[in-house]
Parts: sequence; C-alpha cells; structure tokens
Amino acid sequence: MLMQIVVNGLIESSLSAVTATGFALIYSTTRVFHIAHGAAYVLGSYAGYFALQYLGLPAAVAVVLAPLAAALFGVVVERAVYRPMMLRRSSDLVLLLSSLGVYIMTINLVALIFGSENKTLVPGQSDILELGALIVTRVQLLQFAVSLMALALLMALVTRTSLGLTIRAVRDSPVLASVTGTDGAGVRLAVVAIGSGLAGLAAVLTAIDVGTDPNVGLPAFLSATAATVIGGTRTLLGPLCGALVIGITRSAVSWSLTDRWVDAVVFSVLVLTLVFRPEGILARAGRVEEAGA
Amino acid sequence: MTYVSHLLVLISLYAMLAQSLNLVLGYAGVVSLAHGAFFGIGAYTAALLTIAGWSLLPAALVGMGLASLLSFGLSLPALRLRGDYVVLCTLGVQIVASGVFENWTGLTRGPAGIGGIPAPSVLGIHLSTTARYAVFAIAVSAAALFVLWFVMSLPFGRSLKALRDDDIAAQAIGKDTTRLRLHAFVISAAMAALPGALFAGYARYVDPTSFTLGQSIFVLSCVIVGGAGRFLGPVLGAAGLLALPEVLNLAGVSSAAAAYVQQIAYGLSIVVLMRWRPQGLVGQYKYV
Repeated sequence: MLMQIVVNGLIESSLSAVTATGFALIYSTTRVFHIAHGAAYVLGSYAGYFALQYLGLPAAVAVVLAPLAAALFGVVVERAVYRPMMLRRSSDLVLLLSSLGVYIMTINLVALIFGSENKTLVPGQSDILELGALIVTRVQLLQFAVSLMALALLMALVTRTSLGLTIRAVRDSPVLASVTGTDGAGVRLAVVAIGSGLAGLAAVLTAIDVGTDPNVGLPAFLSATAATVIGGTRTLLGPLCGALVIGITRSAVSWSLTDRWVDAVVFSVLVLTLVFRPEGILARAGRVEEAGA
Repeated sequence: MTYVSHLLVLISLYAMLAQSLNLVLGYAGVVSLAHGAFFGIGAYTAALLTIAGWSLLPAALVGMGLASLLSFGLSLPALRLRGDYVVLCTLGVQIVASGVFENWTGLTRGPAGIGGIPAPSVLGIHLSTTARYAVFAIAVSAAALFVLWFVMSLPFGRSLKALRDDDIAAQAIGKDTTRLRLHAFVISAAMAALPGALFAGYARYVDPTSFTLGQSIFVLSCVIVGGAGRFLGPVLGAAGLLALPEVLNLAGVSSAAAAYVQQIAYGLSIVVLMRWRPQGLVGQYKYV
C-alpha cells in the first residue's frame, strides 16, 4: 500500500514538475509572477481536445500540438502585455495584476467557446498493468515517461547549450547580461515560450487521462507555484524537488483523509514554507542576487 | 422596487468590502487575494451565532474579531516577504479557508450551506423586507466608511499615505513601515468581515460558493477599476461592476453567456487599466 502511494505520488509529481519548472523558468528569468501560466495550461489541454475530437488526429500528434499552442499563447502574452509594460517600467505589482487579468480573460473565453463541462479527450478506460502488488495504467506510464523526457531535455537545454547559458545569465543579472550584449528581450521571449510549452505538455498529458474543463488551470498553477516556492528558484532542481514533496503529500493525504482536503493541506505546507523558509528548502544562505529583488 | 433595493444592498456591502481591500492595496501596497475568506469568516460567524440566538450586530463584531485575529497571525510573518510572495501567501490562506468552508461539515455543514438564518431586528425594527434591509445596509456602510475616512485623517492614515507615495522616504523619516502594514492588514480584515455578517443576515443562507477565490478576484477588480488609494474609487468600482450584468442584459447578451462575458470584461479591464491607466478611473496610486 505504501509503495502504491509513493508510485502514485511520483507519477503525479512528474506531471506537476513539468508545469512547475515551466513556471520557475519564467518567474526567475522575467521576474513576472506569471499567473497566466494557468491559462497556458488550460489552452494546452483544449488544443489537445480540439486536435483529438474535432480534427481526429492521433494522440501522439495532439501531445505535440498542445505545447506548441501553449507556447504561442505565451509568446503573444509576452509581446502584447508584458513587454510594453516592462518598457514603461511598470512595477512588479502591475505585471502581476495584468497577468491575473489575462488569466481571467482567457479561461472565460475558453468557457464561452467550449462550455464549462468536462471534456473527454480519449474515451474509455486505460489498460491496467499489474506490476507485482502495484497497479498502474498505461496512460500513467506514458505520462511518467514523457514528463521525465521533457524534464531531461529542459535540463540539458539550460545547462548544456548556449541559449541555456544566456538564460542563466539573464536570470542571475539582467543588467550585467545586457551590458555584455545579450538580447534580453529575445531571451525573455524564448523563456516564456518554453515555459508555456511545458505547461501545455503537462496539461495535455493530464487531460488524456481525466479530461479537461476551463478551471483545471488554477489548481495546476497553484501546485506549480507551491512547488517553486518550496523548492526555490536557484536551480531547476528546486521546483522539481518541490513538486515531489507536493506530489507525495497529495497522494498521502488523499489516501489517509479524503480527496477534498488535499488542496487545504498542500497550501498549508506552502504557507508554512513561506513563513519559515521563504527562500525555499534547497536554498543556501546569503544569496546576493535575491537581496535586492 | 424590490430589485432596486436588492442592488442597493449589494452595492453597500461591496462598497465596504472593496474599501477594506483598498486600505491594504491602495495605501499599504499589499495585494490580498484572501478578502473573500475574511468576508466568509464574517458571514459564517454571523450565521452560526444568529441561529444560536444572538442579534446580528454583536455577531458581526465577533466575526470581525476572528477575521482580524487570523489576519494578524498571517501578517506577522507574511509582511516580511517580497511582494509576490505576500500575494501567494494570501492566496494560500484563501484556498485553505475555502477548503475549511467546504469540508468542515461539523461546523459549516459543507457544500449544503447553512440555511434558516433569522431575519435580523435592529432597534426594534424587524428587517424582513428588502427595502428595510437596504436602508440598514446603507446606514451601516455609510457609518463604516465614515469611521475609515476618520481613521485615514489621523496620523496613522497620513503615515499610510506616505507609505503609499514613497515607501523608502516614509522609512527614512522614522515610520515603522512593517508595523503600519500590519495594522492596515488587521483593520482591513475586520472591515471585510462586517459586510460578510450583513450578507448572512440579508441572504439568510450561506454556502461556500460565495467566499471563493472568485469573490476575492471580484473585489480586487472593483478596487483596480475604480482606482486604488482614493477614497471614492473602490466604491465607484463596486457600483460599476455590480451594474455590469444589467448592462449586458440590456445589450441582449444571453444569460448563459453573460457570466463569461462579464468575467472577460473584468479581466480585460484589469489588463487595459494596468497598461494605460494603472491608477484606475479616479485613483492616485500607481503601484510603484
């Protein structure tokens, strides 16, 4: 039983880790508290729904299309909303509130077009595989494998490529990066596209299993921010560990209490982390760049 | 006529609620997404106590006390955090509070809600009609707004305005900014619980759907659209946004779509105002 809780927690964590690293990448690089990340998530799942149910495309294509649609949304938000505001030197608070406005607008537009009821992407139950005493479905295995692949690719991108190097440079010091000739606006655009794409990927993988509705974005966004806060944004491993903590907690709570207390418990963990370790559980003492932020 | 009275009750309640958020957003520069929760604490406390035989105003006072206790406990650590994290912290409180309203069935009766709240009597007058309740709500709202206006003219209020205009300058002349923010937050939570109690006495039924994150966002929109940091701004914002469904109705939008169109309009107005007029329609504070 304990193993089953851990395995369920791991699969759930792998999905929320994808959304969370996307959020952490955007938040740490652009410094925008990107609430519209939840809207990118919703759009990703509906792009998958549209591809599967309206266009009749195979699931593999939908899993590719959804992140692209979400990334496109991210690009539009960055160019149409964030960038003009940054040029006007708007405060963090203004950007946060605009992001909230974009989120509200987008999910209600989706609800207006598709209705608010749950949409099924792939009808029928997924095959159940029994591995000894453990029970997993085929879809869960797919979710786990694709999430791990996406996370590995992202790690490679950030730590091994020149784009990753400039992303880290802008994250650590935007001013210094621009002095050395980095195209800050370009890096921000790339980061928002990649981060939103990750949200779209996690969304479509989740939606294939349980369907989607216009309100799936907020819980996903909240788990992502909770994971980011709990793990810290120093490296991408932070949100990953945060997602793991949350995933296992969720799985344990829904097993020992009931599903309905899950959100309350997760957010109590979040508030406690903010109170006692606002820099995240992985943080080392005395980070210079955060002091002035 | 009943409908006009109904709208007047709602506008009086939301004027108070929006003004309470304005105190923290417009003066202390703190975004709170927990005001739906404080509103709910006022409503649930009043519902339970009036059913137990209390009259509405003392019950409202208890609710205000509880809300300010919670906000005090929350803000002691939270106000030391960076702006984004304060928002996240209040968001966390809202989610936890929604969870409690929804799931602590022993106290709140969960999703079924609490019905059978008696119509309150004030000064021997039984507030059984909407028109009488409207008069009562307007009177309480006017009194509360007056008290707040008076507080804002005291040295405390002027320090808060200094904080709004220039945080660092306020610190430099010796204002304890964290303490000021803390006091503003506690007063704000108490003031958000008061309309909650009035709401319970008016609707005579409370359930978790009235005190969700959506409610917090609605109040935030009222303040932003009207203009934070100005006394009249949030009141106008509340009246305008509450009248929006009527405008949509007149424009011939079907009622099924109206709820979404309304939300889209809130979202759009926030983005547009933040982009071109961050101080809102009549406000001063630009969230610098």
